[in-house]
Amino acid sequence: MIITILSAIALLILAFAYTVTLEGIARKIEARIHRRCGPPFWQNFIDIFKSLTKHSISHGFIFDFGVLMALGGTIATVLFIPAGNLVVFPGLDNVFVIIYLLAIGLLGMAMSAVGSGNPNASIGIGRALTQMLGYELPFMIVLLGVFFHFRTSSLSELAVLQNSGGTYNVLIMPIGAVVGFVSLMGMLGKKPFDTFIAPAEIASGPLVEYSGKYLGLLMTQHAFGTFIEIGLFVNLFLGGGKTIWEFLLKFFLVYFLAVIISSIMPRFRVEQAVKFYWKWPLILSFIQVVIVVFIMGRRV
Amino acid sequence: MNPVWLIAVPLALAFISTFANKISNWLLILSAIFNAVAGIFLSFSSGTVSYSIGGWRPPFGIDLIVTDATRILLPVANILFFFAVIIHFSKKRASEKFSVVYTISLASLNGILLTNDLFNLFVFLEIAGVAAYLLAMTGKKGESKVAAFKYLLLGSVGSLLYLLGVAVLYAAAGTLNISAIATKVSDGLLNGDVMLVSSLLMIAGLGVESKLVPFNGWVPGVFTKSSNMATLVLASVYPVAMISTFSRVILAVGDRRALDLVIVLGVATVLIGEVIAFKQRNLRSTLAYSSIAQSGLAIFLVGIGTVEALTASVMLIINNALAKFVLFSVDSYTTEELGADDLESLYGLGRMAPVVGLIFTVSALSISGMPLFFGFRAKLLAISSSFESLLVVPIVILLAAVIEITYYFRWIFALYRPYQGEERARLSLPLELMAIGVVLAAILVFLGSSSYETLMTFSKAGNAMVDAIITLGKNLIGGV
Amino acid sequence: MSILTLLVASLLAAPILYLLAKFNTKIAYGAYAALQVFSFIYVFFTGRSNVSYEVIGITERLNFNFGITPTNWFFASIVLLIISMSAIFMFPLKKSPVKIFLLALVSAGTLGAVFSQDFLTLMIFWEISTWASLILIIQDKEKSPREAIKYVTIASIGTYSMLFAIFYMLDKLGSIDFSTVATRIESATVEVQLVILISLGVMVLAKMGVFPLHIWLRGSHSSAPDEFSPILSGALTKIGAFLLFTITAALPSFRIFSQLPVFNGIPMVNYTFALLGGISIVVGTVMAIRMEDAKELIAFSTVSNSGYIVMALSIGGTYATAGGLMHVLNHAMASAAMFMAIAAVAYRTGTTKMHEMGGLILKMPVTFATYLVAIISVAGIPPTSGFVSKWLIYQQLVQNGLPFLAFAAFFGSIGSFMYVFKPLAGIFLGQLKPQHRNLKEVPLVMVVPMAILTLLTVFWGMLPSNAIKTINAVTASVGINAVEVTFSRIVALTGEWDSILVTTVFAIGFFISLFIFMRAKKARQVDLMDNYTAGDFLYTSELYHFSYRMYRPFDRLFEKWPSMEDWLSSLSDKIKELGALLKAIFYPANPQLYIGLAMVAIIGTFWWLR
Repeated sequence: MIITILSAIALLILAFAYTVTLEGIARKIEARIHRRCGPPFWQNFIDIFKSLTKHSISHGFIFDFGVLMALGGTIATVLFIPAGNLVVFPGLDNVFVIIYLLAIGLLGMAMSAVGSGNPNASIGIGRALTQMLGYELPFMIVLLGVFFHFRTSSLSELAVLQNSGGTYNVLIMPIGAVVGFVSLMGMLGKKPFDTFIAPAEIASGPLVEYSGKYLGLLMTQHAFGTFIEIGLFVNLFLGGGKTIWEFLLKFFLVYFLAVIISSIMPRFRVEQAVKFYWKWPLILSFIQVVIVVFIMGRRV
Repeated sequence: MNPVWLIAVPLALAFISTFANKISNWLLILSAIFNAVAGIFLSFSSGTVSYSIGGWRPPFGIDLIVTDATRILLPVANILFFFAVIIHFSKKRASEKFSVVYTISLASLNGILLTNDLFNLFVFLEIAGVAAYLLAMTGKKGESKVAAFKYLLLGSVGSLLYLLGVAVLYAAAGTLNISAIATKVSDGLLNGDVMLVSSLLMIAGLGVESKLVPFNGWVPGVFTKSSNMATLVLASVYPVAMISTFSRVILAVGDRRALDLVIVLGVATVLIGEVIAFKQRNLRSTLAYSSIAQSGLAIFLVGIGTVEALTASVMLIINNALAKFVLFSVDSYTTEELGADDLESLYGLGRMAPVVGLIFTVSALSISGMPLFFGFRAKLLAISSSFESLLVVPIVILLAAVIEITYYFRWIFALYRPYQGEERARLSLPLELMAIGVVLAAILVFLGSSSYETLMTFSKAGNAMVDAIITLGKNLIGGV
Repeated sequence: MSILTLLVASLLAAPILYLLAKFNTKIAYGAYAALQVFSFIYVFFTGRSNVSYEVIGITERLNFNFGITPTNWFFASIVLLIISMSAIFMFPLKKSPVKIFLLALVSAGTLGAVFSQDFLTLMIFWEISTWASLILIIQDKEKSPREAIKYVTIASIGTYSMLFAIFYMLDKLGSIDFSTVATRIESATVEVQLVILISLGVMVLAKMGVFPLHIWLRGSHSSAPDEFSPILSGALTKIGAFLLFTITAALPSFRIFSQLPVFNGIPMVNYTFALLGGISIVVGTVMAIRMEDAKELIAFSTVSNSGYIVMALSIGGTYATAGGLMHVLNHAMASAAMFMAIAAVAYRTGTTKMHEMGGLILKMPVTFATYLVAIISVAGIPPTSGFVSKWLIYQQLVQNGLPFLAFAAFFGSIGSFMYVFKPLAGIFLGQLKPQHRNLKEVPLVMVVPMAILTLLTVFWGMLPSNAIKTINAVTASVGINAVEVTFSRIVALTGEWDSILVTTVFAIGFFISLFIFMRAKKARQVDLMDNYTAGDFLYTSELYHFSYRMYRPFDRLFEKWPSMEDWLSSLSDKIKELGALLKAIFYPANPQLYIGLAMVAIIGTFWWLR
């Protein structure tokens, strides 16, 4: 019990600190690619803590409640992500639970944003939900293949099985890994899939009405969200890690790759994004899962 | 009581009324009441009884036969006729011109139901036919005369064909008594080809009045153009006599091979009737085609020929008679009150006049075979017995039923739809129509929800349909 | 007292309530609600333990067979729960004697259907409730007759298909009892088995609203009286699930079709049904996303969820069967709650078009909460009961390795976020319309049933083991393995689900955020009109509510897709054309043509029969 609580606290702190640091580094990297100087890598910490102390406005009950639900749901989800050998709930961390728990956060965020009464926020939420139908489908179908092969959907078990098997899923199911990565880009809302934020078009979409502590909480939520999504990918396709450090290293690499790709991309319109996901990633994911189910079969 | 009175009394009264034109209406009512009461009286006993006319023992003389089937069909036909007469005379503007014709048609219908002699049947068919042609031309417009003329042509051809069939059979069997011929047929004494020819001719001849495709070209014209009263009688009372007689004759003296033809024609009639009815946009022509389809349903079961099938057939005939009576009288009432009976002009009728809506709905649901109503029990049996034949038969019947339900519900919905046209006067349903409609609807619901034992009567009727005549032939005539 | 007494009482209640309503509608509606609640309580508490059978004769060969088995009890409890809740809920709405008559008939028919032990009894009572519901649907709204006629056709296609199956069974197997058929069908030939199961399957598809027979749901559910939609969607479609469970689980469809081609452990016939379920998930989801009327939207969500149930029960197996049954429970509660919430909103605002409302959350908080919990359950988000069923269905999809069915399941699951959020945003969130300033929450009598359904949804979400144990009893009675459960955990193939733990973790997360939230400076409350507008000023709140065509980009993707709903009306046109043709052939204007036709027929048949 004590160990669970301690490791939960450790995981939360780790997720927060590491992801926010990486986000800062990402801003730096992106700036350099764009031939700018860029902010210091701790800029995101400054942003979060500063905004938590500022004045803010509220648009009523659902506006507040939604934010709390979003952060609460995301924090709950983080606890189910194994980080190397730091596993809070071994055996219970199955992927369906993680994906649906993450949805609580999403729903809270969506309610709060639409509850602000700003149409920009509603447009952003509409786009986010539409895009979700795009990227989740190929991702889930690839996952079906993974679960079928390993006969488990527990993230920590999947990581252990990959490590003990000697190869990572990225090698066993390369097509699936590619699809997973493209979907990950959509989940993270990185370009070209950032239409629901689109600062120049819809004034940052869902975030348009947030200020002060609300913004701070949502930035924290975003950091946790990023941790969950990349954590999922790392555990599913790169074997997680035997130690925390291995996990963090892989995490960094995946994030780095996503940032680099996103910094040289333009932006899709939302229906283009959906169309894109329903074309190649979906076809490839079907190819992958057919290979897994009908040719490779179950892992012995 | 000797059933001959059922024929003789109306005939005599009709004869009187040709001389006493003034009281002919009263004589019609009197004969209708007499026949209704006598019909009910007749149904109290049971079993097959033969009554010879003029002391000549069958097969030498003519005899009337009362079976368990007659005991149901006869009262139904007579009571419905009585109801039609009530509705007719309650309107105060009934003309006396046709009372004689109605009285004669009553006599001939009873004759058709009762007689056990092929030639006698022909005579009654002719009388009923002539009466029907006259009734068919009672419509207000000239179109009814054209329709009646077509009916006359087709009816005459039908009678001729029937007569030809009877002649062929008489030549082969040497008797006209149905029971006697049936005995010979069942003993295999008659030549197969002769039998086939006579059966085909009789099917065609009787098919005209029983509304069997392709001999029923007269139906839509007559049913839609004729006067309300005439349509009521032609659509609800006539089929009871005609279809049951069709089955009686064909089962008794028909060739086995011809039964396949009956199935084919019956099923075709159902399908064609329902499909055309689906297309109609006014109530009366919908009902006309639906009547065709219902006859087809009752007749194809004759082709199957089991007790279960004939029970279903009798039930369908009665269900159709009761329900169509209500539907046609609602139709004639709306035509008179609203001036039209197309889909749009019926909107909101059920809300404005709830009783009309209720009796219409009940009858329509019963015809289309919804549970809780009599029609469902009949259709259940019909479908169950149709499995005796090829598998395609129940499938076609069920497809037709889907079409039927859809168009009947279209009418039911129209009745309950909000009406947006110009103001309409408040409708008041005539009391007698309301009373009769409610009684008939109540009977449909009662029979639909009653227990198995109550429906045993129909089962007995079906049994009688199948073998009463032959048994009679064996018993009465024996070795002749 | 027995089921038969209850059934007779509720059948007789129809005319009695009608007459009562002629004098006083309130008493009649009260009596109706009391009867429904009583039958629910009676069935729920007495039916659980004792298995009993009752028989009455209808014809020589056929009987009404009623019985209480775990399966009957399970479905009856769900259906009666929904009906009794709706019966309370409808009290403040527009009353009429005809409606109460038909409602009582619908309830009686449903009651008879869920306790039936043979196919004919099931069909007859089902039909009673169907035709009563047909006439009920057209009571309130103007467009309803045109829509209900579709229901008539589809329902009768189903009914007659089932009628055919019944007599076919009687002919080939000599029985129509569930239990006898289940034993005899195994020794029948493949053709017989196929004909029986497919024609019964058509009934399931028709009544549950599964592709391609889904076209009646949009119109009928949305144009039905508001108080009746919960029953229509929550209770009546679930009888279809009862039949489906009977034919897939009770009749051993897996064993008997195992000699046909088998895909990943699923026989071809079952796979086809599952595929139809999958298609209707996708079609229902896409169409639901595109709707602008809340009731039409929920109608399509019913299509989608019926697809889930059909898919789950058709692929069978331990998890999918349990998941399918659980989904019956969830969807009954969720769709009834959604329809009730919309009915409550319509009761106050008079519309069900989402873009004509907005910002009702503070005006109608309980309705909002009901709707929110219901959609969370439909979307399958924990901690509501909707998660468990979807999770179990996924387990089976993974176990058998069914990517194409899984695609449909995932599509419906993720797409459901889109469509359930639309009414939430359009009706309850966003800018309040000026004409709705003075709205109040609906009366208590409407609030109570909504609250009960909401609490039950959360209860079975927190403690799914309670429901799963019951479902295990149902599946055990037809010989399917049980899902392993403890008090808080469900153990399945690919992992475990601990509802208590997850709820606790979520609560902790929520309190951490609440703590930070409270510690930070208090926010200034501003009006919804006080918004970022790029420096401009706002005066008209209704123009600043983004709800109409919220998913326009998505809509555009599907604009050119062929409509799957037109086949019936084009079929009807074809039949009319055929009618015109037949009329021209068989009923020509000239009598000489009929006579010629008659002669041709006689000569032709003589040549044929000779």
